[in-house]
Amino acid sequence: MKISFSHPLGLGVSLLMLGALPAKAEYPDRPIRVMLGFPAGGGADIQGRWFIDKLKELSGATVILENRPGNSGNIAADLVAKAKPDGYTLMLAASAGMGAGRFIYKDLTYDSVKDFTPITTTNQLCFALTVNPKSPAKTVGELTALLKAKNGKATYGYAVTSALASAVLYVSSEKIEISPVNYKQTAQAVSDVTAGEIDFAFADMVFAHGQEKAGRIRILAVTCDRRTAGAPNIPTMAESGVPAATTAPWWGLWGPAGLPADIIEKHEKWINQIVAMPATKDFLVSQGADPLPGSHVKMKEMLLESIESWRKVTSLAKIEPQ
Amino acid sequence: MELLQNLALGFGGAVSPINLLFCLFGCLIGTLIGVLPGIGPIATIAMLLPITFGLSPLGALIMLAGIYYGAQYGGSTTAILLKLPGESSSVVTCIDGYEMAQKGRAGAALTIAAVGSFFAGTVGTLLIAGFAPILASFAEKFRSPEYFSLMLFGLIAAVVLAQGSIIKAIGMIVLGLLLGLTGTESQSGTARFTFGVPELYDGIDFVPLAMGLFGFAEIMTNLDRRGRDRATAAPVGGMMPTREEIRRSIPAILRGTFIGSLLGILPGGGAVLSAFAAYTLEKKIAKDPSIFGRGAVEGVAAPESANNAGAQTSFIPLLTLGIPSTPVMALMMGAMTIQGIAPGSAILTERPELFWGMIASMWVGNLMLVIINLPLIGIWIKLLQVPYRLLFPCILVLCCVGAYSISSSTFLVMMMAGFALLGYVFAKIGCEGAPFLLGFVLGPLMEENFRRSMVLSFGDPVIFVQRPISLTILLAAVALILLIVIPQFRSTREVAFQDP
Repeated sequence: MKISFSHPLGLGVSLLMLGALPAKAEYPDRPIRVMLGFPAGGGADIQGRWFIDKLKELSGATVILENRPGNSGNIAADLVAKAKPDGYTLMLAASAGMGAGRFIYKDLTYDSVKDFTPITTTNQLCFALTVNPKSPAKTVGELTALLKAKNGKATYGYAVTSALASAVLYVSSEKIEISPVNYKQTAQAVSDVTAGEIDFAFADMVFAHGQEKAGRIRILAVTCDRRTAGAPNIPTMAESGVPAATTAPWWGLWGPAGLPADIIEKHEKWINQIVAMPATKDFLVSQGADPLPGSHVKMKEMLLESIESWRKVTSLAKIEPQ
Repeated sequence: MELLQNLALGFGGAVSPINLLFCLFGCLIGTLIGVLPGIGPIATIAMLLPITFGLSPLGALIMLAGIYYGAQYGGSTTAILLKLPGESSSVVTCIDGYEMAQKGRAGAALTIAAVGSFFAGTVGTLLIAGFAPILASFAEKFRSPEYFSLMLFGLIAAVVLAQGSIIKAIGMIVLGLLLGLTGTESQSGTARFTFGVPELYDGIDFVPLAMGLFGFAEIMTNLDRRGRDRATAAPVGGMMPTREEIRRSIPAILRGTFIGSLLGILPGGGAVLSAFAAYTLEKKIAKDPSIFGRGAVEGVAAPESANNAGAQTSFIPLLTLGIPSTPVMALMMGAMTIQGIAPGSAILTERPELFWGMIASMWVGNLMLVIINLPLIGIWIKLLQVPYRLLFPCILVLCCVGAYSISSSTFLVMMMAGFALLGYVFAKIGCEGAPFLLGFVLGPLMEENFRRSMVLSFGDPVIFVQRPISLTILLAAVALILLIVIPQFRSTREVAFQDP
């Protein structure tokens, strides 16, 4: 007996037996892994770690944020889609990836509706329409007129899919003839706006706000359905007369399909507690984002809305799945 | 006078006991990971970012910056003693540094590398302090067409200046370019060379490629010639360089510092390109180029000074424009954002104590590195006295851990093994790895900037010659090509690059 306990296999077997005991410990009784499809140190990681730290405190469990970057977040999503729905493998992911994936990638190994349980939303990210500070355009309407006067010789820059979506919705709704320019990083696109190489770019508010403070760009509007807490003087796209360009990418906590109701409820409660904290609001505002309280029902609706909006964007931009 | 006031403000913040401690901690970690192949500053800074949540903004930035330039110092140690570049910026140091070690001059090479790095670091720091705003406006003139022309120039230079056969050099660059294009194409989203493997959709990761191609392949080549067990066979010798070595390294350090400071400012340039360019220049202007590859002291002094100067000045775009020029700078930007600081010229005006504190800490850190580094070399020599058969499995394990840690998956470890085989084949057939690496790194950037330029000009290639900076660089590239084509030069080149 002694030998079998000191033997690794023996220990494993006895742990297994403990797990099968009828008086099962209350969830969570072991570490929760939360996957993130983006590398350490980026904006997604910084915001993710805020929620994970707070989740640690509220749940009393060890919560680990695992960076699984690659293939635009699809590697992380695939892992979670195939994980056991026991509440110990979750994911922080954005609406853009989960909504647009099916229209952009031909051979996705998961279905964002069928293979996941939405738990609740965490925060909302606004995008900013940025132009050169010397541009005569002070409003979105003036920019539209300026771009149309260029007779097809206008350009805009984007680095991430959400920025592309905002731009596509804007130019198609205003019937502007224009060429998109792809950048690897939002910083590069904004830098080309400052240098006058391109006419405008959509950039996340995190970055755009800092650049505007430094006098390098001018923000004409934000893409959210309401003004952001960090920059209440900047109008929304809808207020600027382009309601079609309203997009508000959001982040949320996801689990694999078939997550038990009691686990969903627990995380829904914890995350909403974190979202309601004044410190969370301060942190998110400093990041150019806004807290977004929600529920699993609400998030499911938002996922379906996001998919529909991406269906429209990808068909407008004539994007074929690759 | 204003500069002195600013520096006084900076030193006031940087030499407070707690910040000195952060600086020391960063420098020690940086040296450690610099010495260990396979664990780079990118992974380390990324892993330490969460710790900085609780630190003061200045303390956090001082520590992270210390890791970065500490790694530049540490990287040279393994390059010289083991021919294993601890960092990619030390790849060229391997060539002559290791040869010097073979001749019993390892101690002198390490001293020259450290002193050269310190000098370059001091100059780099002064440059940031004095010229940051002016230099930033120069770097800002570089847009997509200028970048494309600059990279084209870089590749042509790599062919002209590669060792041995031109055909092999071109072949290696093209192979590097092709592998660099792996992944999702940026404009249309088409997947290239991915064979349906999802891990390849973002391209081949640089770290396992470099570790496999340089680290593993070198170990395999060493095991091949088991007759002479060479890892322990690099005695350090005296630390003091000879009068002759000092005389030859001083101008090389000056030139390396100059090149490094200049290239460091350019986004994407940074420490690696600086080291390559400095080495190439030394080879070019040497009276007797055949000494390179055989333990030329200039081949250690120049690239080591250049990579440190480049590491320092690569802070300029971040601190003045808010644009990260290298992955490490992107992480520094992340650290600033965590602290609620918007990177860019606003730091200089709104948070001068932070800007100048960081700059002062860089100089303090460089001083610390010289002081702690030379004595620490003794510890590493002890490690190197471990027989090779015990040492190489440790290096392999460290590399595997490093590759695994990038995305917590075994895929990159397997990929590293594949590149190890490839590197072994390259070594066997006499193909240099350096042009391959350059092609791999520059290829995707070149394509990106080329295509962006073409979109911006609505398909008119004239954009590359319409812009004065781009035109100048292209003319320089043409001049380089002429150098290979002109028979007279070609014969000189062949003499210069004759394999030892």
